[in-house]
Amino acid sequence: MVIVSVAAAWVLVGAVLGLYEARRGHWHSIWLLGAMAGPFALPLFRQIEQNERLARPVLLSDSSRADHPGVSVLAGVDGSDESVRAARSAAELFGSRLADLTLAVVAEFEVNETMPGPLTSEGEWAAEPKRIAADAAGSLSGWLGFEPATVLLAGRPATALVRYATDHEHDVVVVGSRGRGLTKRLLGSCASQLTTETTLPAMIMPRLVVPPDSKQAAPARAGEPPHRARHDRVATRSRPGSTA
Amino acid sequence: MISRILVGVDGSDDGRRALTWAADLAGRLNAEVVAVHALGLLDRLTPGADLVPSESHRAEIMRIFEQEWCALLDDTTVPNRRLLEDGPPAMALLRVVEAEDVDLLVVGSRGVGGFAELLLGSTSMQLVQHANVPVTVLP
Repeated sequence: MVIVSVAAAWVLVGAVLGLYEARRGHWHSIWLLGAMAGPFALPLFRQIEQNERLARPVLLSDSSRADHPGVSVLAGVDGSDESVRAARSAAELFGSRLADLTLAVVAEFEVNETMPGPLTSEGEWAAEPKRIAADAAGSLSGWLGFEPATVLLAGRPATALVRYATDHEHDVVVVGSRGRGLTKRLLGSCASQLTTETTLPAMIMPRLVVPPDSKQAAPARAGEPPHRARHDRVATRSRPGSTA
Repeated sequence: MISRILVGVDGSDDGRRALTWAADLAGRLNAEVVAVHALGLLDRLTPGADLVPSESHRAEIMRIFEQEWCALLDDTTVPNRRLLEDGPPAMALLRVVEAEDVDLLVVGSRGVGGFAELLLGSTSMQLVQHANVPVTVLP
């Protein structure tokens, strides 16, 4: 009875730690590994992350853009229409002043070609993020007039994006305010983490009101902010010089 | 293309970095900068100073905002305006976004601290959640 209880607690603790880690940017099935490692799951996961820190980003495809002065943009894409529209909106906003655009897919910590052991990913593990990057680049290149670069990163999305953008001297990191992708990597949590932790300018694109399957690419002007009507009644406006 | 950039300014270092970045970007894009300070019920005449009732210091706050916090705009050729708005920062900024047809909103990730109405920290999160234009958060 005691043995069964201990075993159950071992598995439970490890699985819960694994589920938590999956939300932090690990492989979604890592809870199975956690269930086996039990209370030792946490040091095991940290070890994986340390390997990730040593790992290098994988450049999937280079930009076809010649040297161009202006703003260099790194945009996170996650397979959702919204993330692709966010990248496109950023390109629209900077217009002729867009120097280059790099699309980054952030995969789980375990998806990285430099990872040793059975979780080494440069096979089928990386297939999905690669497809997402290629699809995003394909849907934007015609409109942009050049092929954006694509890169595969691993780990916690906000951290990975900022680190890559810093290392490669991008001027701004762009994400949608909400993600919806199959990898579930660039969720709203990425936008909120960037908002509070970023060490680079981070541009958060507004949530779109157009349906996800709509062909309309331009961001619609969303509805009014929820508190606006109430607020306008009590607010007054003054301009410098008008009341001084 | 971006033609009008709105920046939240509150006298903090983060607010100044936001204004610097916005002015630089506006210069590259030939855009206009609209600097906004939200006047709450209480405000600070200098960062870190005690809170004072805003209304009785309105003229002084306006002068500090225009001449000190936005001084770096005087050294640029970027077209700019400075607006003192009544209300909590997030609401005030969103109201100007609507009224001025703004293309981009720029804020620091944290503000001067203290009371909630003066915290650009929570303001930046509210703006990201509610703004219908892109929000750029500066570290």
